[in-house]
Amino acid sequence: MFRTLLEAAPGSVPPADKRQMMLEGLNTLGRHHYDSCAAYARIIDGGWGGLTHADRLEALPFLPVSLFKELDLSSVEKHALILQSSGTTGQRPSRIFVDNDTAARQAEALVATFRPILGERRLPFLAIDTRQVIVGAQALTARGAGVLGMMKFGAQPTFALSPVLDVDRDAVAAFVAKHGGQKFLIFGFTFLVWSKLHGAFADGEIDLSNAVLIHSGGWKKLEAEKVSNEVFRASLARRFGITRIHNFYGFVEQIGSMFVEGADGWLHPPNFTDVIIRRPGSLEPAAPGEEGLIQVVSLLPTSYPGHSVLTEDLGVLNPDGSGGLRVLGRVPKAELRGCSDVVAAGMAA
Amino acid sequence: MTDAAPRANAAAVLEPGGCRRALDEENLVALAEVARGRLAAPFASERLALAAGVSTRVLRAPKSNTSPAIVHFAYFTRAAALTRLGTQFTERLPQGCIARPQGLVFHLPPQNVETVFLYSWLLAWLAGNANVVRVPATLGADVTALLNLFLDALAEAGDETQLFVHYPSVSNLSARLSAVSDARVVWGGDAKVKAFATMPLRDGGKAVWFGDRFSFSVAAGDALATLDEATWRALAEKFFNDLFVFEQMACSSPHTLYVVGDPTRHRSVVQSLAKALAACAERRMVSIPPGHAMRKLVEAFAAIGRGSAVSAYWRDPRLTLVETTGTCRHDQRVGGGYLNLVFAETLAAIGPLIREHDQTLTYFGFPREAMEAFARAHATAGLSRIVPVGQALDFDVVWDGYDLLRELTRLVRIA
Repeated sequence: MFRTLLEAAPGSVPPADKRQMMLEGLNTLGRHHYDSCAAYARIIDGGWGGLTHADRLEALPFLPVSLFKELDLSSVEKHALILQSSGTTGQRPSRIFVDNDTAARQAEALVATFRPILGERRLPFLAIDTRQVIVGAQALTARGAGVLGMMKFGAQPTFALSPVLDVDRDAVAAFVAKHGGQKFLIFGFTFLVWSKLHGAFADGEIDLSNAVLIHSGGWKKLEAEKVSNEVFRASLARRFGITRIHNFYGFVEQIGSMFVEGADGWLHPPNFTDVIIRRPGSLEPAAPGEEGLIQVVSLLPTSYPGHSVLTEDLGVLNPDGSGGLRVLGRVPKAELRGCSDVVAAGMAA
Repeated sequence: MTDAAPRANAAAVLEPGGCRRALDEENLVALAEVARGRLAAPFASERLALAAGVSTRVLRAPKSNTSPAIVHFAYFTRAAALTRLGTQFTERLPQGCIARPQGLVFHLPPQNVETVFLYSWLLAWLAGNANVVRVPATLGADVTALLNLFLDALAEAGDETQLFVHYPSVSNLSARLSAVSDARVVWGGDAKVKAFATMPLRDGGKAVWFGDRFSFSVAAGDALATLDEATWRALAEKFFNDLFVFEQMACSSPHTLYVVGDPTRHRSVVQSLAKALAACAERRMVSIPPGHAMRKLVEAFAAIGRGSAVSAYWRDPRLTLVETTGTCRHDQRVGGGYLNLVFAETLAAIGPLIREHDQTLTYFGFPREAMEAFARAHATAGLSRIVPVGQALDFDVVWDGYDLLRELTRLVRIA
């Protein structure tokens, strides 16, 4: 099922067929994880009333994404690497167990997703990040996994940032001198592209008009500066001449399932991934056009039970039914009031 | 904070009519010293009358505008209740003794469970003390209204010995006021208690501490199974109050429900109770922030995944009930409608699970005598309150192991 969907051109499978094929594959995958991951089996039994055959995608059991911070969930005896979310300070990161098979599927998935945008040939690659981010491959951060994943589409990688995330202007200039005259790839996390690359140069100072820019990582920091996707695109076009810009949505618990920004401005899932929006609170499925929590189902993960994950991201599906997704931000963390006061750092002194 | 947001080392004193007077450190300490020189006798008739007058005004107001916590306070301060409080206090004194106030009492109530500062102050004031209360930075409308009634009444009575103040948490004032206080009441958890432990009181002084606490509930499975419809509904209401007031994060809010009985026989009746509670929460329009609903789901699934729980009732965002494995202790304080369900064969089986920081045990389906026997057998280092279900948050003069009136008075022995 996965292979059929993987090999079809992005967006070429009629939605009803896709959902039917995914349903079948996800039921099988659910059974696999139930048989292979004891903790997952306990959750299905104790939280979902046992393993059943779902008759529609909405009826599939899901795990809340933060569960991967609380538990080591693995469906394999031996893993090849552990992916980690970058995680905010004081919070445990997610730990995602990836074996060679799942890693290969993730790589194939990335190719299937990005080849239509980038073409068959490996492009000169400018990473808006530091080389340090891909060091220490036993426990990669989401940023590292992203850079490493995109490097497969690039040749002769240049890292635009120093270890302390300052722009290495000489390196960027050298890259542009050498490769700027032909199609090349820029990849980076959205806030780094904005704060570092966009921030380091003046309008027209360097010409990146042959670039395809792929960026990801969320808009939280940019929203704080009132930078919308539209402003982001227009600013990069004005400053560097970049017009081929693709935002994508993905998260470490679902590496390989990338939602890429299409010409319509919406994020589109790959063939082997789908999205369900659920109403916050009741968690009932919401209609297209209605905002809610994003649940992602994917045929990719066989080494960990991440095939049906309820995220803490809010989003909305295109009301036209095309399946396009818009990500609206994160569900705010709720601090409950109580008898215990937060004691200011200076108070005990 | 609005108009007179105090700068570091400055304070604002609350005055009648919702006004604030900005004061610097020296002036506030001086004011406190003056107040300390004007004490009253415990349960002085003017103070009783003033409190009862405020109570009457609150209880006469339309009830729909008043939160249950304020109504409880108003009942606590009715004339008859206060007279009884005074009589019982006198009866508790050792023979041949009369009580006098401690002097100046400094109150550091929790910032969030707002009504606590009212009780803390009220009891100290009835005991005849002068008081400085550091009022929580933000107060709900009904608590503010009640405080204003007191401020007005105190001003009318010419009593200038009760100081309600705002000042920043990082400030010399905590240390300065401590140094002139005869007693200090600190609420708000272990970290806050620790922060104040370094600040000496006048001549040693009297320190009353309220640290982090854990509270839980116990119900007899058979009693739950044999309830008639009306009692069932009433029980759900009571349980609802214990669970959902202050988002289940007051120190006396229960986080674990022990059911004495058997999982196979009593599981379904407990699930019915959970449904009734969730329905009650829905009727009262409890809304759980989506971020917290998600946290509850994660906690429940994590417990099942680890094997420390067998199942979870989680589909209603208002109440998550997690049936744990075996008769063990679970110290999570998730709150916002999250309850661990633990089956125990007997009431006594819960005894060994009690820990030093346990505070309130609410019970249902057991006679008071059974609970007293339980306390005699098992409440050693921990557990300071055992009350029927529905009274978890009802403040009492004996709280967290203290007889507050006794703590805030001193004895004069006359032989």
